[in-house]
Amino acid sequence: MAVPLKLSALSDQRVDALAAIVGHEHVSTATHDRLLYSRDMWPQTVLWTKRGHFPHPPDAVVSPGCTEEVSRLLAYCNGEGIPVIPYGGGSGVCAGILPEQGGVILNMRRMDRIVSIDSDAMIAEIETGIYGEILERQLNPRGFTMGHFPSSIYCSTLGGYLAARSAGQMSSRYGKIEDMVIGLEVVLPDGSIHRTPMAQIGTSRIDWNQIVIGSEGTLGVITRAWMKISPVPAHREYLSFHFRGVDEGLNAMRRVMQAGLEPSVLRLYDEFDTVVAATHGPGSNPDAADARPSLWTQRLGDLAEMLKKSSLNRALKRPGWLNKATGLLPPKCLLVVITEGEPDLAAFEAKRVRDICRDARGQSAGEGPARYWMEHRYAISYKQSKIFDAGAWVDTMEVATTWRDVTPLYNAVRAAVADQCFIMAHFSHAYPDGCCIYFSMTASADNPSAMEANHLKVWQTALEAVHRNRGTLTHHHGVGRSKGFMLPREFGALWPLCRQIKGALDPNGIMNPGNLGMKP
Amino acid sequence: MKNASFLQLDAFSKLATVNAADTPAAIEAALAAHRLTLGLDGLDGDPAPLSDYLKGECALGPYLKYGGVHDLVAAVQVELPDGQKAETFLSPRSAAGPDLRYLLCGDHDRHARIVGATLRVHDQPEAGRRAVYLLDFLDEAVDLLRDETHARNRPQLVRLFGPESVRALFGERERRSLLVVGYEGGEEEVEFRFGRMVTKLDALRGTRLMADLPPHYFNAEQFPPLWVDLKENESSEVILHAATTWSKLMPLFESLERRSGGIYTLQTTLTGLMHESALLSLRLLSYEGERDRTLIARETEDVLHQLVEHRAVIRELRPLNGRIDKRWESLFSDSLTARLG
Repeated sequence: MAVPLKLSALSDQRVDALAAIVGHEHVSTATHDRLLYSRDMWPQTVLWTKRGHFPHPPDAVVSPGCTEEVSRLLAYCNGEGIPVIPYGGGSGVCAGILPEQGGVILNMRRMDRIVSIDSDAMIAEIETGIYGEILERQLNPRGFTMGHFPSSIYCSTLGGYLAARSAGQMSSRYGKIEDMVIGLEVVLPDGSIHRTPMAQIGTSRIDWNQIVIGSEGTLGVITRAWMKISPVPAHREYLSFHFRGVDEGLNAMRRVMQAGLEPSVLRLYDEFDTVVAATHGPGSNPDAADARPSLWTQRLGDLAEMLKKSSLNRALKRPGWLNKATGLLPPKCLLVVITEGEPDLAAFEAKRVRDICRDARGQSAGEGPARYWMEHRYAISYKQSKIFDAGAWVDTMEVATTWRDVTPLYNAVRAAVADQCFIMAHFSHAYPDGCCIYFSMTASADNPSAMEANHLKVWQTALEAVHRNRGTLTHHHGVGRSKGFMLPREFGALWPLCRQIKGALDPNGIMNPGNLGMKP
Repeated sequence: MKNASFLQLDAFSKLATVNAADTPAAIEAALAAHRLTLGLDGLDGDPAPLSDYLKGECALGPYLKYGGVHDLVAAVQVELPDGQKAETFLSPRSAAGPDLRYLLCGDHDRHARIVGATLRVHDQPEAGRRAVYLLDFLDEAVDLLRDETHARNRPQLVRLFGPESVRALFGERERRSLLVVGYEGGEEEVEFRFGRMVTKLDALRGTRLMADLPPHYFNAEQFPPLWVDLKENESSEVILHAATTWSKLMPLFESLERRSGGIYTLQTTLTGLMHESALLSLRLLSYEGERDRTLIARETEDVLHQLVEHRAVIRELRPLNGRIDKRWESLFSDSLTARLG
């Protein structure tokens, strides 16, 4: 299919100037590259793609090989007023990549080395273009792990994690990406290269690491990071429990985290997930000790099959009754737990978790569900396209709040969008003061434009409910352009300070313009 | 001590919103009524308000038992230059743009005045165990503390005094290092974690002791001390806190120990453990009647150079009798802050 694409706005002279910095082989204005790098995985743009709509292609894709090249590229673009959009793996789901004003995509993937490892201090110096899975594959034989395992690990980069404040599936032990940062190398639009001081234990000065992290390419380019690494765990313990409803399960999670324990995995599935596990688990008996849950991963596959048969597709056009039906399910929620580390410490933490869960009225479901989850933990991100192919959309919304507000927020969001999409959730990324709620939403409509409108309406409604119930609008996917309109509300009277930071570091506004709600 | 009052207490989420004009000790006392604690140790007599610690005037690091300052501070409430009130969004974690807590804390009130904070609080510990060792080799103690930190068996309390400090405490005959470690929390937790640490410490070359310490060290209010006791005619002139990575710690620690024999006495104590680094607290002492401001400034500068040479990050410099020398202000600034103005 021929795709109509507006011509690159970059003159030959400018393309040559970029090529003089990185080499001709690392500058592309080819149509296929401009298409490929014109978006991330925001479902709205996935829907656009399905109807051949590519409204915001970049003018060129440039791939620097070192910090000095990034510096020279930025200085050139800053002088010429050319927008620059840093690009890692393109796996974001919030339209953090969408060259609304054209410009240059800065493809960071050539910068993918582990520069050094300080094994005493457990710090790795890493270039940010490295894929997460390759990073782990290089660290593991040396006895280390970064402990960062997002489900997108095969197609996302360290730079992307830092830009969007990512979280891995084992964040309850290793922390979110911002918790792992010791220092950063950042290139500002004027080409200046800055290295932040080691992260703080005290507060004698501003910690710029935490200002640059989460800035999603709007302040500068993170070219290198000094990251905490940990020993590869010598031992893992697997546990699973059933609780009579979400509230009982959340109570157990809260008590585990407030006891000072650090399980690597602590995930609670709501009633719908748990029933699907019992119904569709491969050869499973839900009451057996080794019952395997199918969870969201397998459910996506099943959902796609059902959609193909049209029955659920019809149902998804009337999601209200589908959501009501899930309210009739028996109150039974699955909690999956993994502890890890040196054998005695992992075993001790497992014992403490077991004691707390039993005290919180949990029934042991054996090791099976936790082991099954571990084996299938990356499958989800690669099954969503089947849903789109079947004529529906699917999206996820990860928000966070304090323990006091978790249940009200969960109920409020479900109620708010109940007539607009089918919705379910799990609870993960737990902390002593709260946790993340990970909503999965899907819906269908009669035609592509109706689907796009429905998708935007669901988000608007859901985020309003999140805001009303004291939740942050994102826990680890980032803001992008899809949620940027809500960011000034979350920052309130401090929003002008964000604008002040942007103005101080990027006075010409060339860095990822329009992202994070930073309209010129 | 002025009583602190909570603006809000969410015991379920373990969060307390407090007035930043209250002292940490007053906040601790108010929390104690709810069987909660901030996890601060050793600030009982300090009159500085919480805001001084948050904006970066005083170092809180050596007194924290449960992580760094930002593990303590979940949100801050500020007054903007135009008088408007504002607060950072309260959430256990967020991916919603830059985290302004890290700009407002440590900013010395340049962009907004900190007026309140929402702090993470903990249940008061059910149990606590402490052990004291005289160890033949400083490096063995450092290695063990590092390994246990990486294994996530970090003690809540640690004080490691080098041989020079120990000599001041015990007299010329004693040249070993003094290590104090403490665990607290639930009874089962403490027994297990403390037991693991003590088993490893017992395997090192040295002596486990309690009885040989001066009696007041057993006073719960003062134990473990941040510093070795002052002699009657001594006083503190300068206090410094600096962090350095584990790989650079031993050369720096030994270098500072050697430096302790200068014109004025220098005490060096390891007071904080982090994944990648350790916190050193330093105190320059002078003797009554022998104070020479020029010499003290020169001594301080020598110590600062020593820290910079070993790539330590200086967290706090507090001359007790005077203002911070303009020459040293650059130690607390950086190129990005300079841009923000």
